[in-house]
Amino acid sequence: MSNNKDIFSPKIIKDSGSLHPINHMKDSIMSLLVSFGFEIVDGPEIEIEEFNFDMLNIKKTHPARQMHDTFYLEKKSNVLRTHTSPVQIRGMLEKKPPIAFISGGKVYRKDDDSTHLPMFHQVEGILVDERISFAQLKDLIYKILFSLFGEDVELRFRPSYFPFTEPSAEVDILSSEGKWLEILGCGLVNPIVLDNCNIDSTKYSGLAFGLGIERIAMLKHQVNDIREFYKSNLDFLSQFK
Amino acid sequence: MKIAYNHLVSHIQEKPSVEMISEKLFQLGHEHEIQGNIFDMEFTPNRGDCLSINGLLRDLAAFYTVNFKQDICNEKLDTLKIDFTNLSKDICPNISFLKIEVEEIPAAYNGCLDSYFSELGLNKNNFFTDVSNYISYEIGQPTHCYDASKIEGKLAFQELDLNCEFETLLGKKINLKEKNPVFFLNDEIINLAGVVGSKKTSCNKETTSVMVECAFFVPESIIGKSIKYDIQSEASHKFERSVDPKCHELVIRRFIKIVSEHAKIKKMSLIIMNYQKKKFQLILPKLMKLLVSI
Repeated sequence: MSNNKDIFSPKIIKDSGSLHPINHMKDSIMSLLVSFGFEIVDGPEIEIEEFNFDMLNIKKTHPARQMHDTFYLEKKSNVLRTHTSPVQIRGMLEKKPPIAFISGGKVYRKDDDSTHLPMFHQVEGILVDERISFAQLKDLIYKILFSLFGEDVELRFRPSYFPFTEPSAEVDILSSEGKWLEILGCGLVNPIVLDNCNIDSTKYSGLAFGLGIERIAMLKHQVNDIREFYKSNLDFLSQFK
Repeated sequence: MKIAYNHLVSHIQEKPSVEMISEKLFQLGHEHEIQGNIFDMEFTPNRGDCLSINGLLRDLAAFYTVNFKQDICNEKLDTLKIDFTNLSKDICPNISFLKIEVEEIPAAYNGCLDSYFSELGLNKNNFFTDVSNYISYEIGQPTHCYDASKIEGKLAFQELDLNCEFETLLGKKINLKEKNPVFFLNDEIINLAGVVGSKKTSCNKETTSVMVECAFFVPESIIGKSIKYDIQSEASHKFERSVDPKCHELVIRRFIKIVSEHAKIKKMSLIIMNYQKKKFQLILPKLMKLLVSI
């Protein structure tokens, strides 16, 4: 038996494991929102069309409902959820206001490039009570983004469109290179959505927001290609321990 | 959608800079990137009304003094005699046809048509298709140009379950399957409505007589077709987001005006067909709900 070491055999890494940076980011955002008083709700990743689209006021003609954007299952009766909003629909159908839910997890869309993936993570929140206003929404968004990026971060709200909120806005942050980068979508819950969930929209109003976890992780860690997170490259992943 | 700064600013009295317009566009909720003097716009799905120069100017009028005046043909037009049957009026409640013949095709373009190609760096096709594309860019209404010499016989429109081959005007062969809204000429499909026409009836560089079809198709009938058949179609992008069903006369008169600025018109005639019943029902609880949400 030789005493010589085989210098070509791979090194056995004995380091302890850790959370994936995306899970870590998701957990820290959800913990932050729980500290604001939101309750975590969960739902299935395979959803019925009614909860994923119809109840959220996403009409049949909306581009997001097309086969090229959504993964349909079982002869179009079910979909891989395209956002975590149907979890909130389930929550609103179960409980009556005042309610403050957050839901986080995997969502699926037919996208695949350096800034989009067919599977990514979202955290969404909804608050429904009497006299909820856009001012409260703005205040909440500022608190979330100040916690994530520090109080020096510059924000801008842009008007936008989501069928489930009205009015709707997208929020950008100013990067160190002086570019505005989209970070989240938000708005006041469309009264149609409240009515769909048997909540009296003449009495109650709501605010809602949604964040893409990968996007926030990319910005925080200055990663340019979203696909890096899912290559199982330990050299890359161990940076975030 | 790419929109040239010069095409916007030429209608705005205050003459704002690219950066100033960009800032206003963001305020209006219109995401875009700036590439030199071009705005590469990304409109939200509810703003089909903005998919043109005029559409964007309507929004910018909130901030600036905007002059919308674009010359149109004001002549009285003869009525076009056409053997056309609409068998799916629910899918296509408004449709118009213009037949126009010119003495000769212009050797070069001028005015807004020339500027459209030079500013956006686009390739020209043939005269009538180029005018059609420009009108779509300016007003937002896609039109389809058939070579009028190839349109002889019975023309019909219908949404049908199909299983047949169709050759597009770009020579691409596709298999039409399931429900599709199509135009027939003597029982032969000559146009996948709102998406792409056929090679057999398309215009070419020698075409001097054209039949322009200007229609409104309900978005549900068009949506997803260009993706399904892998066809790049700006027309379908617009029809999917809905176009103005009442703009046909303006579009056609503008079309004639631009043609007349380039060539001597020998003959022209027009027919506008509206099948939509004028009904308006006020649902008070719905109105109240809308007012409350505002």
